[in-house]
Amino acid sequence: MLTKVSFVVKKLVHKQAIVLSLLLLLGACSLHAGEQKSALLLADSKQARAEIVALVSQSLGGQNIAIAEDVFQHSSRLLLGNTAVTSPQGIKVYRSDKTPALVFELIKQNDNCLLRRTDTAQQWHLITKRCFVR
Amino acid sequence: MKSKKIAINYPILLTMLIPLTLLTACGGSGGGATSQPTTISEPSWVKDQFTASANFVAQCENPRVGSSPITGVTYPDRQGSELLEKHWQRAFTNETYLWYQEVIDKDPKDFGLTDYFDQLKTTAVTDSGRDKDQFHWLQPTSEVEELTQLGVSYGYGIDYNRQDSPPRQWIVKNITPATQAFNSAISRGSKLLEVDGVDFVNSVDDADIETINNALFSRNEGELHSFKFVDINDTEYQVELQTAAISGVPLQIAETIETAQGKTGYLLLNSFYNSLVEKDLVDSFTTFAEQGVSDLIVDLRYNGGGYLALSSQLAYMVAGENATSGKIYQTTVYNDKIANEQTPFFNETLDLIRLIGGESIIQAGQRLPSLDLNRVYVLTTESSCSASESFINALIGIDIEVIQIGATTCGKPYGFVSEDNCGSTYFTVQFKGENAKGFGDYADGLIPAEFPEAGKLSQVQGCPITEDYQHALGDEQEILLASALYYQSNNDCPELVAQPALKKRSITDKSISAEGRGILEANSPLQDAILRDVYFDKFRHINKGDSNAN
Repeated sequence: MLTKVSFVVKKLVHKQAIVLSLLLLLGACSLHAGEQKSALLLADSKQARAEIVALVSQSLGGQNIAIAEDVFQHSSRLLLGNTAVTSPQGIKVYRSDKTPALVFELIKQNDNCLLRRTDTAQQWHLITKRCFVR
Repeated sequence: MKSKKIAINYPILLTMLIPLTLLTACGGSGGGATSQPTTISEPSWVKDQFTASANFVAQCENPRVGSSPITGVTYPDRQGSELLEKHWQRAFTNETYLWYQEVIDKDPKDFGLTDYFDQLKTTAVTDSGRDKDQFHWLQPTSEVEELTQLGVSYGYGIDYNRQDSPPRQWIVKNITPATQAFNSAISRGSKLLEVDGVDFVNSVDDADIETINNALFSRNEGELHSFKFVDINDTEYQVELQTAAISGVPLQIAETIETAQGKTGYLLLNSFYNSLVEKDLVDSFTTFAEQGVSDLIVDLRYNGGGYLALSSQLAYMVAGENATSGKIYQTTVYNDKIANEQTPFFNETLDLIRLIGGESIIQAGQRLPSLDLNRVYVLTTESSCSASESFINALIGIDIEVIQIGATTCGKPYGFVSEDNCGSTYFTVQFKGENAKGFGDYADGLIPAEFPEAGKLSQVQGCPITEDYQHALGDEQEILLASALYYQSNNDCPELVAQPALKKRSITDKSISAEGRGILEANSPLQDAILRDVYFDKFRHINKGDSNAN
């Protein structure tokens, strides 16, 4: 049986929990609503590159993707396109049209570095913190 | 047994669930598809009567389920049959193939899937006797969808001239700057002798072939392999190289050469398949214009093509506004069921990298620099292909004099839009490119000729010379560049005299000897068509004996 006091205390606890919940929600929202800015990687970010290579591969069904050593060091966008195909006679054939590339973007949000695939809006938090707003 | 009531603390649960929900919302959505059972009605074949390909599309013997791991797009496949797939091939060919009227209509029931598509093409041959259609095949869509960062590929950064059948002969023809290979002792003209201790030249043993392929076509970054070469002075040397993601350098050299005729610009442009190069070209031509360059040598010997728009911009920067104004760079001619398209001489920056999804690196809409030349020298080999050939043909089409120095180009005035059906991607010629004069029939390549025959429009004024690898690219002694400079001075092709001791050639005055004209033995056109960077190519592994097997 609840005493009046304990009822009040319990009610307060519930209120605090709700307030805490809302605060966390707001915190989460502010984290996600925090401004996202295009970013670059610092030079010599080998571990960051390895992380990005793995995530891009994972995003594309495990394909082994050739990605430059200096990825995201000069541009915050990584453009992927089809490799050349080879005709039966051995002639490499390039696509000559301006087909949009598949794009991954490096983003800085608060202190975090994010990788975003633009066509699906998927994004991943990177372990690395070696990105900076360009 | 007493049951214990569990008090659910909703606020705390809420506290836990909301962030989880938010985190979930950060991710993308998955997709899946289930195939619906359908009644399969087998079509019948009536000679020369066609129905739309839409009636047969995505009705597959083995329909794919789910969505592409690359694009995320749900497969449209449903249960059909191989016969339906062949009827799709037939209808697709009739609708889009450039030479559909030359295809003999045969009953799909008499063929397998691949064999049926193989014969859905013209049987016409060119003047040289090779098939007019060299670009007709199908391959698994999963292979075609393979992606790479634009301009980047696995390998070592070494381009070879390849003879794949034993005794194999791979000669280093170019090395990508800023690579481990570039910084090592590897020199142009060196021949590959051993790979990881295995005789590269003569090996036929399966295990040896596997060792060689694993090294030459490795896609495992950081993997270390050893390569033994012999250089042009017969000195053997060995290097160890790590497989790496190699960033190509499309505009490898842009320099000015002082000649008696004035300043001559020289560009070694290895690819039009790199939208970053637009800015590099604008910068180079701006410099050339500022320096008062009055002649230009465009070295496209290893340029396999790429964006037509880039080659159009390059042509504009050579010829200038007066020569190109109101002219068509290339008319894309389809069959008589599809309207033609026209590509102008682009006289402005396009910011191509932005157009395909990248960050702007040059402001679009700026007038391009130009040299306003009425003559240009173009260096070619059999690796000069597609957009490189368009560049030459388009300039000829507006009466710019093109002096072609080198070997016949690959012969690809054609193109296609590849099409997937049921997990196979079909490549069939759907258009050809014509210049402003309506010429585009150079399936045998553009042929440098000292004395072009009347009416043979694929013959281009110039000097037929096979490149050697005795000098570095950009060196004024290098055989093709030296020949262009000779032509510039003498308005004629040089005599090439062999120097037996080192098997070198040198340019000499024509009056000395006509016998020494040292055109080296030529590879077959198909062998020569393979003169390109190995690290970009996964289909042409070496093999035991067949020079063209995949």
